[in-house]
Amino acid sequence: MKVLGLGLVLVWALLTSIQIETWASNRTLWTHAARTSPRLARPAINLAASFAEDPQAAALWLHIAITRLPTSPRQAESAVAIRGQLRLLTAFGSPACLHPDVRPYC
Amino acid sequence: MALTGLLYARTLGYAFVYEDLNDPASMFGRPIDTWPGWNRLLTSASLTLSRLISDVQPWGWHLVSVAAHLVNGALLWCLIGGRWAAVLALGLFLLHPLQVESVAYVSSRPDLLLGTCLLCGLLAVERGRWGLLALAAGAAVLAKESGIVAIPLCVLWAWWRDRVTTVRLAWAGVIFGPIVTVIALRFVDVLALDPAYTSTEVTKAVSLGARVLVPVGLTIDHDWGWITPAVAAFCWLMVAVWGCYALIELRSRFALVFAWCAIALAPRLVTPLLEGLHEHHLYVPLLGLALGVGASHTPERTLWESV
Repeated sequence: MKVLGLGLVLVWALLTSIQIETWASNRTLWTHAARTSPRLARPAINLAASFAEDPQAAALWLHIAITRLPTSPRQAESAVAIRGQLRLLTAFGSPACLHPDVRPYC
Repeated sequence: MALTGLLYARTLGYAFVYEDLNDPASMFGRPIDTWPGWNRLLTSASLTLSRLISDVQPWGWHLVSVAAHLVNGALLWCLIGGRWAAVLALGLFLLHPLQVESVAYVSSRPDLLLGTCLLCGLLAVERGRWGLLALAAGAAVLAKESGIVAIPLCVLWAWWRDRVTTVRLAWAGVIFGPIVTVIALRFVDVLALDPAYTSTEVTKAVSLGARVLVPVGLTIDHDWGWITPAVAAFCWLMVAVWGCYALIELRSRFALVFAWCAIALAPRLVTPLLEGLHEHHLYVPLLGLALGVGASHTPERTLWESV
């Protein structure tokens, strides 16, 4: 029992050590997400990160998100996230806000 | 504890990620209309503390998160007994990879603080300090809206540990019932009992719960496309079996963990949100599991003996 317990704790510690690396930066996070959930679009909603990588794709995604954003409570969290990111982009004078597709929302 | 501190010390050099940058008000002191105000007063205070420590440099924000996790570990240690059971329970709570999202991700701070308040409440129950319990339960709601579960969880703990008589439990229901109801009604605009949503979330919860045993596939963006009606039915069956066993062995550790997880996850199941369950939502359920593993032995009685 002692050996099993200690063994489990050590295995958890090792896996935690690996998992912690995932959260080091947006780059490691998105890389991890793209590897583990390639079909999903959630990484794209981080505009601050995605604009640095591909401004055109990020602007297109934002346009789709804003124009099709439902008002149901289920979408509320996403709406808050997008609004928060737009404020951040505006507050820091991000070049993203100069993009013609994004400017109307900034 | 030392190993946990050592492992998470690396996060002090990490950047803000993802939703950490969503809320300029909390990070940089700029006013926005979505600022939660007194809803998360305790969380706001802790974010202010982080800002006082390192301003907009992430290390101070990570430092507070890691410290909160370690404090929670210390509080948990006060509640459990037995040398090896304590090692296993603390290892599960502090070092399990499911907890990484809660600790390494600054935006999960409310879950850490909810854990702190809840543990304080449990310690208050242990020592019969009912005033302190009310204070801790109130603080839990100010850490996160779902902190409303602190009251029923503390009552559950008090009952499981034989810390209260039936009469006192009834009084607790009379006093705290209306409080819980009033707080719950504040969320009435987002409460929506959607059976399909709840069914999916229960399936996700079982799936994430399975990762406690096999911690693989942890990600910020779960692909739940594999949830078919058949899979959901199987997960419900598992929950039903566990629930029935909990009813039969009412005072067992299995029953404690089942009831704990059901109460802790209830707000997520009735509040339809786009993103559903994630690892950081398991912080409080994992605390219950750790308590189930490491809590001092309580004489086990069946439902029939209790009746």
